Amino acid sequence: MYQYDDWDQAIVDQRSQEFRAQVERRVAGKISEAEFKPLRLMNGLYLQLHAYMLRVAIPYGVISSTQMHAMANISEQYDRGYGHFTTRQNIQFNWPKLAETPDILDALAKVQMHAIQTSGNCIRNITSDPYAGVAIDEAVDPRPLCELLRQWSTLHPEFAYLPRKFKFAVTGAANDRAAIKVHDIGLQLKKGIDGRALVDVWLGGGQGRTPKIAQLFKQNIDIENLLPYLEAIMRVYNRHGRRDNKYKARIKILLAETGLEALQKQVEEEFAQIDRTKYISAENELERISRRFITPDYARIDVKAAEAQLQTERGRRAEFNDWCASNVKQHRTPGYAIAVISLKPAGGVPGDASAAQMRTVADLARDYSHQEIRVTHRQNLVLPHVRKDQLFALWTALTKAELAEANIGMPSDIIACPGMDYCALATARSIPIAQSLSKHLRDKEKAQDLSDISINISGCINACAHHHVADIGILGLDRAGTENYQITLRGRNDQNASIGERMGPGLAGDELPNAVERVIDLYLHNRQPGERFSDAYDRLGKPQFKDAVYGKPEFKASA
Amino acid sequence: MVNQNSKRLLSASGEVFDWDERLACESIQLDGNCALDQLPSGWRDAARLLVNFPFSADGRGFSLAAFFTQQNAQGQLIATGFINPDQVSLLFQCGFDAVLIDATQIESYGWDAWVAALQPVVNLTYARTAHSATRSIWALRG
Repeated sequence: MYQYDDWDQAIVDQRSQEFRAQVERRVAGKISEAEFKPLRLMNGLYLQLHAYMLRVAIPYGVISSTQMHAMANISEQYDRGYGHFTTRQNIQFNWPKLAETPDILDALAKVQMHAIQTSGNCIRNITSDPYAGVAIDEAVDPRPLCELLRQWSTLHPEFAYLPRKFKFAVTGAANDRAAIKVHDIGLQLKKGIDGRALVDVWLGGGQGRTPKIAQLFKQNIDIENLLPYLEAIMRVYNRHGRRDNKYKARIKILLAETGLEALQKQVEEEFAQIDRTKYISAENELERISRRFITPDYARIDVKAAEAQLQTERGRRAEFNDWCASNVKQHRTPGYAIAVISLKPAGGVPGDASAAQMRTVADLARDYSHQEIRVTHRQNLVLPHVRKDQLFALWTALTKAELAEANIGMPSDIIACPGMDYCALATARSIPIAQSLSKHLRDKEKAQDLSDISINISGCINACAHHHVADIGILGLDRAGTENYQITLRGRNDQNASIGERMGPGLAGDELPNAVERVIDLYLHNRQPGERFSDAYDRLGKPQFKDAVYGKPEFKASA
Repeated sequence: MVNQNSKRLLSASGEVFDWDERLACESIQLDGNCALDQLPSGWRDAARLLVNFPFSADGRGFSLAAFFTQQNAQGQLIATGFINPDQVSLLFQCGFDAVLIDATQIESYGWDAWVAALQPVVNLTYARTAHSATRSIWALRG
């Protein structure tokens, strides 16, 4: 992973020092909450329902063993002994005291971390493929570009007061695990015919109350021109994005109102004007950044022997075999595997990890994964470099720590936002819904082959849990003081991203487990071999699924 | 000494001046949200361009400054209106030569905060920026 140089460290230290002074001014009453708000937001500090919440950046989802230990320490010293991993690969602490937040930022800076731009109307943390650099289907490793973008966007003076927040996601793989098409800008890295990297720019994706799938905005831009081109987009957005209505301020609305061709023309005109000499050579900087990524020193493994050992161990223990089937992914290096650690125990809070669990994962990363951990968009953790002949030992340790839930990609691998248990914007609870659903569905998914179906639960229209792009999306709303949950079906967030279809009126929270089970049953009993949920939905049609949601008499799962 | 009642000009070079209102008459004044195709004629050669920020969260003036800098506008580029001390460094980095503040702003934030803004704690950024006390890490790395 990327190692800071002295300059990277200096800017984080300075920012921490600056924030300490800002907090001191606030605590002393020298600035009002209204004045303090934009300052704290630019450092990831929210004021939630019950307390402040600090969102810490985990750039492109990569975190070291040392850094994970620091997260555990922070959670114990300054919070309530746990952290919450988010869909944008960050971690949130839900109970910090304002006066102690500068100390937290200092503790973060000591391990090359920060909370810069994890909130506010600026360019947010860059997200990426959690399997970056080790994925079998990857054309170009996106991490160096992500780091370049992190640096470019960090404290960029022109884009600190945008019309609204702005999110980038980057992938270099054929299968999109970064959800680039539901980001303001999604970058798809690929190899050109001369072997050099090229980038497709997808623009205007997003969720919230106006969900949109991004449009292909610019194809095959070379790395050297990428930063000026992105700057041209940002400048056009900063000038023309709406500021009269915050619900219409994202770039997706600018794209919809301006039109694709007209917006492309504006950006091209701006791009033509930009003085390229003020930019670094992106290729040179990418080379420098790449040198500062510590490449794992993979062991020379007898690949056949390691594979044979793994198969023997899988045959010996059914639980281990299940875990391998759902939680272990193919690695590009022979003899190695990607191990996904589920943070979704049945009845648990999705994405939460206790200090003890964070320490366990940190230690296991040290022992089995070259010190490295990734955070996924689905709120799980990844050990990206595990020897196949050590998977059983890893699983044994995870089992002891109650971290060996074998449910990656299954219905109980639910994404949920904090909802009304924490969030000031929420209109309904999402955590208890996730807990009841995962408990209800866990036995069924164990008994069936249900390995690729997503359930996402958002506690308000802002869609932080990405319910629009789940196979089964659940949106919690307030209806005359009562929590009410709308179901959408057939969303996708991958390379074939699509917005789910709303089924109809919402349900009460206690009606959801049976409604979701009926939908899953319909899929289970009617799917063709290898058929995804979305394809089955298209083939069977909305009416059948709608009947399943509402449990109408004519509904029969095994039609 | 600076007159307590006057408007003050804080320059990117760290100097502080009293503002002579007569200078405003010799300046082109425009809002930060002014569309490029509606810029007043003569802006390229004007002695001064006063860009008014209609409210502090409206960042359009930052991009307008970048535009003027890119176009080699000849005059002094001055930010005014709803700006606060925490924005001063960013304004200079985007190409403003100075910020113009009034007595209300001085009273609201305190004069010390404005003076401190001329020596920002965060004096590093990555992107190469216009003249300011902030240094580009990319430039420093060579």
